[in-house]
Amino acid sequence: MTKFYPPRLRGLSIQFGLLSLLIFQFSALLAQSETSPPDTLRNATKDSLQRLEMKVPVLNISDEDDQDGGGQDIAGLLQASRDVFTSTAGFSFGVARFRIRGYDGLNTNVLINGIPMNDMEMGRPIWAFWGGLNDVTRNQTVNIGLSAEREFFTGIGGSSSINARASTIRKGSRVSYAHTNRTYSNRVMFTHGTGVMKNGWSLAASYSRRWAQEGYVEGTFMDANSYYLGAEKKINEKHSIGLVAFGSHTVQGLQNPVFQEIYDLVGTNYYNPNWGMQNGEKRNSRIRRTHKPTAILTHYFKPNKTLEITTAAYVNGGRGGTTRMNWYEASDPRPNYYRYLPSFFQDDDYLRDQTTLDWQNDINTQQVDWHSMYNANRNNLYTVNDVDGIAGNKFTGARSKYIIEEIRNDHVQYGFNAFFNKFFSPKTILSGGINVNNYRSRNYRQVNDLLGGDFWIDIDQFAERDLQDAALAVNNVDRPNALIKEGDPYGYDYFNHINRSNVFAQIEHETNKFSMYAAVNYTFTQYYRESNMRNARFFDNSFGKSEVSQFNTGGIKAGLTYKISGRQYVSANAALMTRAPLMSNVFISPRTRHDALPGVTTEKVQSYDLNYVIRYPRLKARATLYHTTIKDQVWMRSFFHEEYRNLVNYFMTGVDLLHQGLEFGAEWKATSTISLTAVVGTGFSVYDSRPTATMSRDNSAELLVENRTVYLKNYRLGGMPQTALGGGMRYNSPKYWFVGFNVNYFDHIYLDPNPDRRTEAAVAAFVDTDPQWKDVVQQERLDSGLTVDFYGGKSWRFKYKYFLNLNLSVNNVLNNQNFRVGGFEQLRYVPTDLDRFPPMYSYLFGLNFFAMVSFSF
Amino acid sequence: MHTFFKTIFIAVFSTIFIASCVKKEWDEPPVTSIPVGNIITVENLMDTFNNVPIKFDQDFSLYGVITADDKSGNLYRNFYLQDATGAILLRTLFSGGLSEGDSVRVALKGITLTQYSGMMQLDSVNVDKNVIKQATEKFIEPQTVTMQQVLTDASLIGKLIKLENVEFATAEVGSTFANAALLQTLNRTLVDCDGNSVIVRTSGYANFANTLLPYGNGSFIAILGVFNSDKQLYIRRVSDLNMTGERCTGTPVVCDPVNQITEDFSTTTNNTDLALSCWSNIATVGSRVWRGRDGTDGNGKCAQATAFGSGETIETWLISPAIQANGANTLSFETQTAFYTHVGLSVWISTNYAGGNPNAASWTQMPATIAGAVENTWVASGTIPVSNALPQGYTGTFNIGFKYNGDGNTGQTGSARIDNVSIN
Repeated sequence: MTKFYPPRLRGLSIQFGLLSLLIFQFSALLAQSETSPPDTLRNATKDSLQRLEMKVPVLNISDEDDQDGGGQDIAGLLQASRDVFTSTAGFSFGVARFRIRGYDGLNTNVLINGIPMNDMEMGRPIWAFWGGLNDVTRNQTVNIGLSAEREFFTGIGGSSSINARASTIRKGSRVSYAHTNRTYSNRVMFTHGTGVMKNGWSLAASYSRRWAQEGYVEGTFMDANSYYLGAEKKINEKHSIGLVAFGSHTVQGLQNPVFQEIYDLVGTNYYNPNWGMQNGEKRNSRIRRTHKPTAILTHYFKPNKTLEITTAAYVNGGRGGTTRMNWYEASDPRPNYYRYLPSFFQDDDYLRDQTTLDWQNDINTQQVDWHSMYNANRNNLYTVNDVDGIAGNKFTGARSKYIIEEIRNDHVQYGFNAFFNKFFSPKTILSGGINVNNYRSRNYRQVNDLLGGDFWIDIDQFAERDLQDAALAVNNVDRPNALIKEGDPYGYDYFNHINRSNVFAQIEHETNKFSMYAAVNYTFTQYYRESNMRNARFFDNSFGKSEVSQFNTGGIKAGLTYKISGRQYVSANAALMTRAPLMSNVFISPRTRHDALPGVTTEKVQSYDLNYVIRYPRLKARATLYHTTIKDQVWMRSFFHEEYRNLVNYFMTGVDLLHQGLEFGAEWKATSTISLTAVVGTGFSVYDSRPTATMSRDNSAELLVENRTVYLKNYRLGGMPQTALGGGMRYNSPKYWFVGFNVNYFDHIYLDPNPDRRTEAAVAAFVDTDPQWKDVVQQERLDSGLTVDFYGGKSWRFKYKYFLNLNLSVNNVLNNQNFRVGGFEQLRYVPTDLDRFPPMYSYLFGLNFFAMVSFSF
Repeated sequence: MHTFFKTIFIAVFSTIFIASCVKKEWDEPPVTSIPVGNIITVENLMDTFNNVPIKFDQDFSLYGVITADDKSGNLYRNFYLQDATGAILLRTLFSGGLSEGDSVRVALKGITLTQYSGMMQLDSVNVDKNVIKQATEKFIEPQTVTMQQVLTDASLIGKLIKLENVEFATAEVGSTFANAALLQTLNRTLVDCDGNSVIVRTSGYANFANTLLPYGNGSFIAILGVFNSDKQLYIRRVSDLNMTGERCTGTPVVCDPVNQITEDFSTTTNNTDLALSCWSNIATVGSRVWRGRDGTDGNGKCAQATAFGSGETIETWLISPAIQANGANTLSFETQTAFYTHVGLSVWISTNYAGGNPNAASWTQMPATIAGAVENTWVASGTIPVSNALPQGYTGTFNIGFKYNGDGNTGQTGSARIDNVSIN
């Protein structure tokens, strides 16, 4: 009755991963490929086989992705990789925040239908913008590290090129339901494609919803609706026109990490300070709402058999924002504020014991006390004089002391993209392209909930306290003493404008023994700020347009592969490039004024790798050595400074990074059903310079720190394991089921250093023989960790046209709840009392699973 | 078969969706009312108090108007409440939340009535939970009183009062209310024309700490506080002071910053404490200050400090008037020792000295050649560039301080002399 269905891979030979109805099903297929290779592989040219071998995605799971379940989706994509190193990194290492080669996500490009999708401001691809559309994004080509890429000049991390054309969506329907205990609990997905119909049209649609009343962490929740619509018309053999539109509307309650004292007090390493009880239900104060859809209109033109020209116009944008509590003339409502903890009362036994008891027993001490905030707001009768700056205009009402505000970032981006591939012969290919973008984001704070009060007043409370002239505390000179209501912007309101264009060209050539490529790129970037508010403290320097910052950057890259035999290759790649700093690092305090940060220059990137690949029927392996330097980066964080009692911006310029290390992955088919894998990723990702620090106040032109040397050289980049080892075994039954497990070991995990603790000022109170001196400057290394993962699945076929698949994966089978996978030092610190502001830690989820059933018809 | 599957999926999907509404909107929690209980007055509180702190564990309500808040930073977490029977200090758990003119009900349950150095206060007031606002802008007019009443009438303590025809002490005019740079609280002296005086105490955190004391005579509104036997006045804001009239207790010398100084001490009197116009001569440890000395050499008169015969530890400063920085200032002077035991002299520079105690300012030591074991011989300091000790591009003022340290108990008694101070 049931019969295994060997999926046909569709599309071009250089693509893989298509049509794997399930992540593990596809892996199972690959394992069986010796006996029944998928069509694509059978038909592939030697060239594409070789290229395929080198294709592994370099993906970075950012915090943002991690928290909204995007990380889960990305990990899924990685798992589909043929490269055993990459698939293991995706399935088993990703959850521990392992980053391939230690790279930040901005070194990797994501292309959808040939369009570069990296966020113009963040630099990274934000997977959450199209999260949950696995049926659509599954169809992708991935490149690790430096390689030839015919659509775009990609970064040193490589690229993922997703093909979401309507004509390539699998014909037929598929529904799936997944249950998990991670950031979401349930996922439903429905996808239908017509394939190419007789009239030349292809239509496709996909919808998914991911949701959880409560995720793995208490107080978190999720509700994400994702959609995709595609239409394509093949006009004739030369012309096709395609339109796709997709997006993900995501609402999500977040978690914030805290320090160990609190985890110990409440007895769980998954404590979340963001929620509290309101009318008997858990309410989260930090909610992210994102909806930034994309539409792409593409013209596919093939004038002859040797030339392809793809031209597209696209638009994307929408709303983004994360809420948080804000308060005025009131106590900090965050339960994890350091003054509310037993450790703050070191010298007072009574208060310490009392606070400990409260933390253990009182929900309103442990968590946000919503009802008290409502009561305080309702009761805070206040008279505002000269409302809106009109003399004598008076209003008396409840002035909110506590509010929920949303930090908004809404953007709209228009782009044009074109590239061509010219096949002078099957072995010589010229590619080139142009990409033009106009981007504008609006950044502002918005009052979302007055929590029982009538209004909020828009002043800078630190300036109000410090300055005698009350008029200087006003954030919006054109509307002083305004009654800010729910939905109103306040505080700051400005546009970031980005214009970025680039062109590239690439040539690839292959001989019997060698294949090689070279590519060159030029990028022009413009940034400027345009504020809708005039700030009283920067009257002449805050409103309207700033000066334009311009950057001319470019790069070259090249690679050479030597084919020792049909089964062994050696290849080397090199790249030299410059790139513009991120826009967020160009202004000294973009919230309040136009001032540019001094000393900002283009980043210089050099990257080299050397690879050895073998492909025998029973043994496949790859080893890579890489060495990358990134120079002249800018590092910026904003935080509340205890001593200055103000919001400050801490910048470093001249931040150099070094990434070097080894990747190794091997897969051995011990028998026709059992295969064994071994994977090693070990790197040395460090700061490689002594940057210069500048500290500015948000509300005054005074620079608090200038030209401060940060002794940061050779400190490790934190928040990720720099060493990951994995070993696995897998059984593939001829009866169309499989099981397997991986054992993983993580090491060299460090806390990301607070730069200011590595300055002369930080250790001024000590001599270098004091133990305190070492405590201040040394970097904390976290404990290594061990995890075990399990997976399995089974497929059925009914009546030759219905397919049912079951899959289960379980991460952290041993339920290790004490494995710190990340953390950071707080930026506020007291050199003589480091425990006052201890580091924050994040823990790997305990046992977690993902179970899915899908049905295709 | 196909229909069968369709039915199944429609059923499953519908079930999932109905069960999957994720909540996003929130009802407001119910209003919590704080019981009024017994109504009590400030006078009742005073009468009840018997030198033992009282923590209220039942519902009592105190009605009154806030006369001073902590917005200016002068009063930190301190608010003054006044009713028809008197006034009392509210000490809150957190800063802010109450404004001058707020008509409030204070729910006393959980609050402690206590006395701190003579000041009656309600302690541990949680504004969010203990204070219910009835109305705003019910401003209370200050009670006009005399200095004599301020000093003697205990019923005025905590109240908002107004003094007429008062001025700051002659010696303090030209100083600031407090030291903003070091966030240091300072006492100033307010006098009336009959010679009565009272302390004006201002926090270094006050946003007017760095404001100069008003020069003239006039009216003065403040909260009257007490610290043990001392009455103290706390200003709410500088605009509460209207002091532009003619002074009645003497005209102070106004020391404006100067561009240069040449001082040869020729106007001093032998063995008499120096009193040079606009110079400060202040003992920070011990009782001795710099004195004039008649020289027996060509230099003539000079300034001298010594611990000889003092029987105490001595630290004493002679500080120049404020000098306007011009980017190229230089300093030179001559020094001499006598009865040498140690080098007691050091030379310092400050950019935030505001008169009075030099310890309230920050000082940087200047490199200089200073006389040592060879006695009774003038030693030139050399020409010292001042700009090296000042921030780059500094355009404010600076003071030069000559500090003498000695100890009559340990034999560190050698004398230090200076002469011909020149600052350009």
